[in-house]
Amino acid sequence: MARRSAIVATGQTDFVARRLDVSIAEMIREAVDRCLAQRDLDGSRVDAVVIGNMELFEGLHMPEQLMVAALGGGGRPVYKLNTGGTVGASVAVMCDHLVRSGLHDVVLGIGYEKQSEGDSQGNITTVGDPIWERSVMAGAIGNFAVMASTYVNESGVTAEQAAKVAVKARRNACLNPHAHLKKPNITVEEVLSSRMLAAPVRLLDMCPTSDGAAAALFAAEDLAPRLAPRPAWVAATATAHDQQFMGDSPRRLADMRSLQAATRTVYRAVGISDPRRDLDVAEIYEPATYAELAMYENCGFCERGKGGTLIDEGVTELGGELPVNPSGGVLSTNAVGATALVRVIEAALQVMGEAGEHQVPGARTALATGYGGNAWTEALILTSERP
Amino acid sequence: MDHRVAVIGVGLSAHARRRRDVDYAELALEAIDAALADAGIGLPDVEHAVTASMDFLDGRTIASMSVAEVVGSYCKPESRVVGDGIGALLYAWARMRTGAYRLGLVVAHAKESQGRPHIISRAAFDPFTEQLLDPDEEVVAGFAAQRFAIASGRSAADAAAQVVRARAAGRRHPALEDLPEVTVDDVLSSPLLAAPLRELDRAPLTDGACALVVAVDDVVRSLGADPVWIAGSAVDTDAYWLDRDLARVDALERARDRAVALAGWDDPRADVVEVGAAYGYQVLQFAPVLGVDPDSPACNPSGGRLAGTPAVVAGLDAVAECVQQLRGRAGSRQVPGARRALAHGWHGLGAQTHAVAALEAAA
Repeated sequence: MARRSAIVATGQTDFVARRLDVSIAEMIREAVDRCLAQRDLDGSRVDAVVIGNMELFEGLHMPEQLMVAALGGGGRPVYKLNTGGTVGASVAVMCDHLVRSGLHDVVLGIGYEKQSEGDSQGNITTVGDPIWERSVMAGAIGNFAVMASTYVNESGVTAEQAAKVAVKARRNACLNPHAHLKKPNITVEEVLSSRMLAAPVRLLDMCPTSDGAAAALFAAEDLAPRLAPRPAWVAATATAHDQQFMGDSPRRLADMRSLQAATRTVYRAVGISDPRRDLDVAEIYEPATYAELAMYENCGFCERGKGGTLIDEGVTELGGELPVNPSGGVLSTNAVGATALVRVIEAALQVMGEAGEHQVPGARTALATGYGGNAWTEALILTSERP
Repeated sequence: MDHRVAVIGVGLSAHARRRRDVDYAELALEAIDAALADAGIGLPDVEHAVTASMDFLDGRTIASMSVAEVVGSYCKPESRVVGDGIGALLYAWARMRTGAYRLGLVVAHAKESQGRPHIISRAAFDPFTEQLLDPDEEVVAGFAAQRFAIASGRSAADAAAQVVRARAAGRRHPALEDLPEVTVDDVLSSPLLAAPLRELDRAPLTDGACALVVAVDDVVRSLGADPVWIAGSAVDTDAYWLDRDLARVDALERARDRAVALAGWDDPRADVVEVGAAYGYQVLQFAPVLGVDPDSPACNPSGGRLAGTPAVVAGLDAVAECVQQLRGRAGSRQVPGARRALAHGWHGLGAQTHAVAALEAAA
């Protein structure tokens, strides 16, 4: 049995639409400094760095080379990943593998995006096949509109139920000092009357574009308890992809087969048979309200077709049976390269008991997911007990 | 506790200046089909994949999506490293040492012909200061070549001789497109690229893909495969090019030391060394650090990048050559009796990040 790894420290910038006061490197350094400061560590403890973002979004090629000083300086291994929206979770999974493999003892994972400096949606369109798909692609919104239409048609989920997800997210965000979109007085009516982007997805059904960075420190099992009072142990990780072409699988966004495959793999690895009962909290990558409801079903939180019921009954509210995205989620904060790492960090904060005002009392087992380019998924289970 | 991991299959697509006949997936598929056939397995047997590619080269975001189908990642794990292909091999090795996966695929692809190198590499510079000067990677290579020449005393003719040598070696490699024969004088009289570098000093822009099948020890045995063991591998990154002496290659030294230490080798010298060198001077600069005489038959039997292998793919091509050498299957390029090999790759301005893999023949 390979050794375990645990998250011992985390740091996030305060996410906003535009960080005009800092460069990308300064923004990353802010997250790294906050991460190390959480345990009063200095950068000399870090053996390797794993960083993720989408280079084309800011138009910077090999950004980790230019900004190596902000990552903690040269003279150590720096690994760069780019897997789309999943990348922050891919970073976490790589950190875990590097520690478990024995190659490094302490690994710093970083994710960032400064979307205000580029054109994310224009670049997302390049995921489509240049001949068959690009002419009908329009960034992430069109993609989720297709998913939402299929899902609404099959599940009978209503616009009101989707709007409740938007309300939950933006209210939870008010309890999270790092969240971007905070709307304490948001109502279902406000969501339903917000501007239509691509039917049935309205403005407040969709995540924002944010600037920000996040960092998490992973340590080997012998070091972790010395570095953190209550480390967040990585109990299981999994990755799964879906078909590459939308036309090959018109229902893929509603079915989310990669989410089903990845979550079932991590559940099996840690012995979770009933996720609604066995998980204490989930931080899932929900770029749109309808996606969160479909994800309830595909993560196994409820039976097929019951995603709307779950939000109606308040099961996933902070204080409900299985709080989902107490941080406010992607719907409140979305700096793409950081977003999935923020899911992992928020799950870690919950099982560390350090989530502050949005803490789920007594959380011991948490699910974090990343969702990215062409419907693929990374899933992690974090626990307060060493697995 | 840790599993040993071996390369049990290698495959290269046909490398050429321009592969107009294939898209990224078809290019990668050529390499993957060859690697799977070499390993004697099928795509459904593959449990996970790690790919290497660069969005700026491919002109799209999440460039690994172009090859997701051909690496067989439907409902399976694929992750993707940006940079030289040895980084992808290293990650696959880390994932498999723990026993998380038993059989995997490592794939790198690049079509340098489809982009404009000047515009692509300019995007790697600081946007507020340097990009105004309209620089590119070749300019930094010119600075590095100048610094290296002063520090080492090696001449432009010495570097040009490496170009001549690499092109001759490449002619013996069936996957590489033959490059025109050149002389030292041809190189030295070719148009100026970035002083002191000349156009023929530079590796030609190339399209190609490379795939490796990797397996843990018990799978190697049960398949009866022809393995080459990954004994050690390491990546290391230096300071940004403006913040260091370009005559030095500290990151390469650290990556070498770490890879060799992981391998448990008392002596870092190997029987075959594939040096990542996109310019003639880089062979002279990097080879001694990797413990090999640049002019010996043990250095770059494949010809390396100067013989026509693309960035990103180059590191995996280097590993593939080492594997075939250690299996005794390198044909007319064979270095007799090779038991240990080092494969090297780099990326970043002025070779900022280096990756090394230490490989051992089966006992």
